[in-house]
Amino acid sequence: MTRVLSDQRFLTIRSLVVELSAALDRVERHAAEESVHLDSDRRWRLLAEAVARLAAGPGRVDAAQELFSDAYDPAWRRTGGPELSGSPGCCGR
Amino acid sequence: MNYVDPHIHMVSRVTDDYEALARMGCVAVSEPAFWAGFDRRSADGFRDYFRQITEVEPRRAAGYGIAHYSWLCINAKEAEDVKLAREVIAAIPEFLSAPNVLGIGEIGLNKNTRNEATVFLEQVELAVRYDETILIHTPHLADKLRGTRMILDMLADFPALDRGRVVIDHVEEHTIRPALDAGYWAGMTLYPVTKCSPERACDLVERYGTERLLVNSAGDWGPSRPAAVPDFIVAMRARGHSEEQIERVVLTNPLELFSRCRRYVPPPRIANPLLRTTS
Repeated sequence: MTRVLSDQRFLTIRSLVVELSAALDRVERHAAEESVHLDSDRRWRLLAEAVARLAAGPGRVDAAQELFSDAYDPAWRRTGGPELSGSPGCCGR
Repeated sequence: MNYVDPHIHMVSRVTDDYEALARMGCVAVSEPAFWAGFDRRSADGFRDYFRQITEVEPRRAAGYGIAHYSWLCINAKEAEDVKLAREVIAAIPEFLSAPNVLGIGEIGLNKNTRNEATVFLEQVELAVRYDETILIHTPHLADKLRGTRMILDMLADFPALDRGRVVIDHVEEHTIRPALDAGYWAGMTLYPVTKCSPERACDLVERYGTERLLVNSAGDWGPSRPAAVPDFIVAMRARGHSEEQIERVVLTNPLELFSRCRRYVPPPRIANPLLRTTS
């Protein structure tokens, strides 16, 4: 039973943190080699923000999922979204 | 442990996968109609596909003692062509009397477009008209949250719809609660990279309980693992969850959902006590 922080769970999380660290370093190293400015890439900024939120405590996964999601507008049928604009009455009942 | 994979695209899998599933305890699979990796050019192309999942796959599965069920629809991706979609929708009733058909699915949204929403609504209307259960695909990645909420908004326009006969599939941490709170079933898809992992699916069971929760592999032609449901079983056992609790999610729940289809016949390995295993 591996509830709380067992050795097995520690090693799994340790591996994930090391892999994540290596992946981020890898992207930065390759970007530097190819003179790519990562800060202008929205995806990189999202990753950086997600990583920063890891220290925020419980609720990390929900926060990460929200961060990586397009915004939902409850009035989408009336106002239209990016794909629905200009289509009044679409899907309406 | 006996289990069911309630969402897997066996048309994309080799026969060896049926054998592997049988060896792992799979007693039944259900196969929603989906995007085959290319756009089909005619309604007749879909008719052939519907024949495949109502006639051919059940025979292939039966060779390994697995019951095969299916769901019919035009998927969200090909629904962008509304004219073709309407031709396909008109053809679906030709196949609804096939004995393995559970209902309409996997309908839903892909990129959350107007055309997808139009075809989604027309297929919900079809399901209501024919008193069919419904399996709903929710979008991928950044589109998932918005698309799921849009789907729930549209379903709310059908007050007579029995929420207990509808599955909101591919839920993750940010979409599971609204699906369950509204009374729907929620499916967790275990994928190698996107969607859920077995460990995260266990987390969601611990957070939300076992009621109206399903796990599936959605195994298809892309990166996916037909053995994903057994992976979930192993992960749940490693955390000390009881066999009864695990079986509820991987066997009892999907069969309870399937039983809400009026054509449902239980899998032979469940219906016949002599064929049941207990390990």
